[in-house]
Amino acid sequence: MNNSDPAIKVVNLVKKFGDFVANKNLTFEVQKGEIFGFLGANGAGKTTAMQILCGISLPTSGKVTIAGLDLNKHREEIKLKIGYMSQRFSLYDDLTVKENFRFFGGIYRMSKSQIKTATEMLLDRLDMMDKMNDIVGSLPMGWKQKLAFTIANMHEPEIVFLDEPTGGVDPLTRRRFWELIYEAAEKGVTVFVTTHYMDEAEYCNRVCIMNDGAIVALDAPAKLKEQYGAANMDEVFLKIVNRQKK
Amino acid sequence: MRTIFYIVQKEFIQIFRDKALLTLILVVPLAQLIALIYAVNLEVKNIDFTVVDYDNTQISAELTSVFDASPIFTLIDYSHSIEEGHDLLTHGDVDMIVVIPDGFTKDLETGNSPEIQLLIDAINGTSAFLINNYARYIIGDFNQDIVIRRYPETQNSGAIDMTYSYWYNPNLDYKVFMFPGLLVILISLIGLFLAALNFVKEKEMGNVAQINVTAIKKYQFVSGKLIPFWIIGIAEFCLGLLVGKIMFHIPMLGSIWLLLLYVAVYLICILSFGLFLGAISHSQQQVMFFTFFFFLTFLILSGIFTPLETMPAWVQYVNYLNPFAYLMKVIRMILLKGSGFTDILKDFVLLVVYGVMMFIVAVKSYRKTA
Repeated sequence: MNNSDPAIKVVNLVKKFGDFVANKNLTFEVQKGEIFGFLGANGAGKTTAMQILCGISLPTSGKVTIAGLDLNKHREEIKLKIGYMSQRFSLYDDLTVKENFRFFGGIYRMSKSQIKTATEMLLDRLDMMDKMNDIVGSLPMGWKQKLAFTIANMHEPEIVFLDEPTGGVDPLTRRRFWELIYEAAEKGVTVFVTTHYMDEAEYCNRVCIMNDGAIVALDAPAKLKEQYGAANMDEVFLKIVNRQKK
Repeated sequence: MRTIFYIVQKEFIQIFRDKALLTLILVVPLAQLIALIYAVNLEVKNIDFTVVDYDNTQISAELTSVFDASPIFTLIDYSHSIEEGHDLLTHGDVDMIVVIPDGFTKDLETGNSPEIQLLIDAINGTSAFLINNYARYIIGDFNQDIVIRRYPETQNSGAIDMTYSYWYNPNLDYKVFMFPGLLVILISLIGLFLAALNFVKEKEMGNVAQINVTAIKKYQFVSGKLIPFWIIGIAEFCLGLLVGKIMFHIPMLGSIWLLLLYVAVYLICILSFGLFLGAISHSQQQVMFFTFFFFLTFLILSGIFTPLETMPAWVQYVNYLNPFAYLMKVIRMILLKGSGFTDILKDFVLLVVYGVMMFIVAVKSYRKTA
C-alpha cells in the first residue's frame, strides 16, 4: 500500500433496508492519520455506514477500500487491520479489566507475552494499574469508555472506528477521552468517529455531515464555519439541516 | 486453536463467576434426577375401590376381602347402590367399583356362571388396563380357590401352568427403566438450552458485534461456545451415573467408557443444535421458545415413556432426526443390557454423521454480517 493512498475510500456506497435507503450514494476519502468525524442526528445513517466499513454489515452497492484492500473481497483480512468500539459499550461487563485485555488480545492473535506487556503498558498509561483485577461492570462509564478505546487499539490497528464513543458522559470526561484519540492519531492511527455532539466535531481534522442518509457537507470545521458564517459547529449543523428542510 | 482456547477460557470464567448459573447447572439437574425418579412412576399401586354388594352373602364378603387383602387394592367404603358408587368414582375418591349382583352365590352354587361387574376409571388408559388385569387375576384366583374347596378331586386338573421371567429388569423396577431416560433429559437440557441462551445473551448485550468486527473464524467462535458446555455436560453425566450407582443401584452392565464416548458425540450434536437455534434467534425469548419446542418434541418422540415399537412408523423415521432418540435407545442398551460396540455401531455412525452435520449447520448459520 502506497503511503499516499487514502486509509478509507468510499465510492457510491448505497445501503437499503427494504424500501428504506439508509445510505444514499456516499462518496468520500479519509487520509492516513486523519481524525475524521461523521456527524448527524440520530437516524441519519452514520452507524449504518460505519458498520459497513467495519465489515459487519453488507453494502447494497458501491465500492469500499479500507487500508488498500477491497472490502468485498478481503473482509476478514481488513478486520485484522482495524479496531472498533461501539456505541453499545462492548467490553465484557462480567470480566475483570485484565481478563478483557487477555480475551481481545487473544482474539487478535497476539502472543501471550505481547498481551502481558501491552496490558501493563496501556493500563499504566491510563493510570489504572490498581484496577487491573476489578470487574469492568463496576467501573464508572467514563473509565469503561477509555478502556474500550484502549482495547480497540491494543492490536495496533491502522484504522479505528468509534461509534458514538462518548455517549452518556460529562463534558470533562469527553475531553479526556479526546486526549486519547489525539494520542492515537499522533502515532499515525486513522480515526473514524461518529458523534452527534457538535463540540466534538471541532476536534476533528475534517467532518462529514449527514442528513437523511446523504452527505450534505464535508470539510474542515474551520472552513465549514467560514462558509456558513457560523460561530461554531452547532450553528453550521443547524443551518445546513434547516436549509435541507426547505 | 489458540483463538478457541481464549474463548473457552472466557466462557469458563463467566460461568464460574455467575454463582446463580453455576447452581443452576450443577445442583438443579441432579436434584431433579433424584426427585423425578420417584415421581415418574407408571407402576399401578394403591388402587382405591368401593364395593356394591347386592348379594350380601359370606362368599361375596370373602371376595371383597380378597381384593382388600391384595397389596394393590384398598377398600375405601361399601356403597349401598351403584349410584353411590358412581358418586365416589366421579369425585375421584375411588378408581374402581366392584359390583356383586344379587344371586351371585346362588349362581355359583347352581353351576350357572356367576357374574360380577368392574367399573374402572379409565382416564389414564394404561393404568386402567393394568387395574383390569390385576382385578381379573384376583378374581381368577378366587374362582379357583372356590372350585378346589368344593370339588377337591379336581385339584390337579390339567390347566397350563405359566411361569414368567423378565429379562434385563427382573424385578420390573421402574427406576431401572426411568433412570437412563432422566439422565438423557438432564444432559440434553444443558446441551440445548445453555449454549443457545449464552449465545443470544451475547447478541443482546452487543458483545457479538465486537466479536464480529474481529477476524475470528466462524468455526472458532462456535467451537469456543461449544467446548465449555461439552465439558460441563460430560462432567454432569458422570455425576448422574454416580448418583444412579450409589443411590438407586442401577445396573451398569456395559462399558462405561463406550457410553461416555457415545455421550461425547451426542453432546456435540445437541450443543450444535442449540447453537444453531441461538444463531438464528435475535432475543432470549425467541430462543427459549425454539429450544422448548424442540426439547418437548424430541423428548416425547424419543421413547422415554413409551416403547418406540408401539409408535406409528412415521415416528420411527422422524426419530432418525431426533438426537434424543439416539441416546435414549443406546444408554438403555449399554447400561441395562450390556450391549457392546458392535451392537450400537449403526446408531453410533448415524450419530457421528448427524453431529458433524449439525456442527456445520451451526457454523453456517452464524452470521458475522447483517
